[in-house]
Amino acid sequence: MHESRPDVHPHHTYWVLIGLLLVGALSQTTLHHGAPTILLFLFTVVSIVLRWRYRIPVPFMLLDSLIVGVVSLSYPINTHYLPVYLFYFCVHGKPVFLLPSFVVLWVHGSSFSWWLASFAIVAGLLLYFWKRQQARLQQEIDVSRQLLHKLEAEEQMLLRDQYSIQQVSRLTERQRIAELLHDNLGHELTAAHLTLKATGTLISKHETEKALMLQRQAEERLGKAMKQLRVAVQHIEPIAEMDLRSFSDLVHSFPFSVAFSHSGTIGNIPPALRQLLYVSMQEALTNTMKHADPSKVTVSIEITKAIVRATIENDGTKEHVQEPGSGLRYMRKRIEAVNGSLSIQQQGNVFCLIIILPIKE
Amino acid sequence: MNIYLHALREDLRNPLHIILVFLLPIPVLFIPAHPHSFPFGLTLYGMMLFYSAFLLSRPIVEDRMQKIVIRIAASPVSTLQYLASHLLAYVTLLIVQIGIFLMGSLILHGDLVWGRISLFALYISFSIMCIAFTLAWNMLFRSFTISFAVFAGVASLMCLFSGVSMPLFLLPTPIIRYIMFLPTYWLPHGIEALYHGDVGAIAQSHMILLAYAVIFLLLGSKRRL
Repeated sequence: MHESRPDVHPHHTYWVLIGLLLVGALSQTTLHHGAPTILLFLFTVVSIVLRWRYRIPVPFMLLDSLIVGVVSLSYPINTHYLPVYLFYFCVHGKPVFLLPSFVVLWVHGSSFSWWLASFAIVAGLLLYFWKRQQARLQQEIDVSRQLLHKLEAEEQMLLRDQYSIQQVSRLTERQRIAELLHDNLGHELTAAHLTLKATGTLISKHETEKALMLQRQAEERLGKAMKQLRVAVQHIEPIAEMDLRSFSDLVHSFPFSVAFSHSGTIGNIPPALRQLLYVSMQEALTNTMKHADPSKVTVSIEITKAIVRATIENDGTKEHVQEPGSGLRYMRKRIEAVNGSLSIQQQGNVFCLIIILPIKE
Repeated sequence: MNIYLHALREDLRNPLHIILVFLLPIPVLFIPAHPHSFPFGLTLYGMMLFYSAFLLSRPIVEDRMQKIVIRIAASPVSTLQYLASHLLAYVTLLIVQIGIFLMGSLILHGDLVWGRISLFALYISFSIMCIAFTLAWNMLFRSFTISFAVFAGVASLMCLFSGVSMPLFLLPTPIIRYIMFLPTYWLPHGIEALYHGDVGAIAQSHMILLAYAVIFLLLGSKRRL
């Protein structure tokens, strides 16, 4: 959450400086009161306020400054209003327009009006560069924002792709199982079924010898089918020990020592979730390597009938995590896509990630 | 035209407005004249004009408070049309008030006051400035009551120090060069110039009052929903 803070923008500074310049000019002109001075003061205020209300091209201000300049030739005290115009031209990056005012100041300018003019030019130029820098930064922010938006869109696309790949692999696996059952079991079961039917017919005709022979054949076929079923199941089911080893290999492949523990049967986790758990743990341990100098890393996986809970905890975190990085964000999105949850906890320099994946929906 | 008539009707619907705007300025006519100047009531009437302008501009503030201005912004009526019609209606009412006041002055003061057409023009310039000022003033507030409470104090002080509710010759000379920056100063200044027949000073008063009016109109006409 962003804290509310009083921001100072160039336009705030612009109005403060305009006010200061007008006060500066007034401080000198009030002693020489007279309607022309007040009229010129009001004219200057109108020039400024008009440009606040309407977007008028900068060159038109030259006309206003010329009017003030011409009046100042007859009433030299009014040269004090010229710095306001100098400031305006500097803020808008038009130094050429300063020349007519300089000529009038050269002819009639007092030391105070020169001082005020110098202040107006320096302040105006600083404000001009500040505005330019702010515009450039704003542009960079806009570009970054666009990139972020694009990245998020790509992330969404990748998640969709991942989901469709899971669907395709599930269908492929289903087809493979169907083929396995059809090619191996199907033939033997059909043959046994026909043999048993024939046995029934022979028994009804009292041909016991032949019936017994067919019964033996049917038994043999059913025995073969059972053996093939066992082989097929072995092919279909992932080997739990191997998966556990892959997790164990993963945690021990990092340069720091990891205390790895697990409870429950890893084979109960559906393959897609197992893969997700694997890559999530890989990401978490890579982050630990990058952002921490750990003396102790603990990884535990608890598998129940309904959920898998994985905890990755390490100490020696170098900095406090304000917001998760892109890796963790992407991990969270992938986990949430399968209705799981990712929780990030940090206490002092101990960082803990808890991943919960539902096995049954 | 419809908005103009509506603004007129809205102001005249309130009987208190009619009394305040058209009858209250009459008693100031009875204030006696000081030697070598017009009756002081002519200057004090500036204060009446100032307050009348504020009271008349109430509908425009209420439109903003009651969010009617949002509906107006969504309608085919432009902000300029809306503002111009309202302000013109208020100026019309003030012109009528000035007319009544000057008629009263003609009856009561007779030859003691001269240059009534110039005086009429000066009052019009002043009333335009007053309406523009109240428009800009009301931009600062969201509630008419608070706006009026603060305005009452500020306007009284402005009128006091600028020679509207106190004759200019009673004010110390060093203060004069500072109060010249108050817009209200230019009405007594103009009336005094009229008494002495200084046409240049009258023209200056007009120009300065109208310049202030332009500034206040520019500040006050910014659309604030």
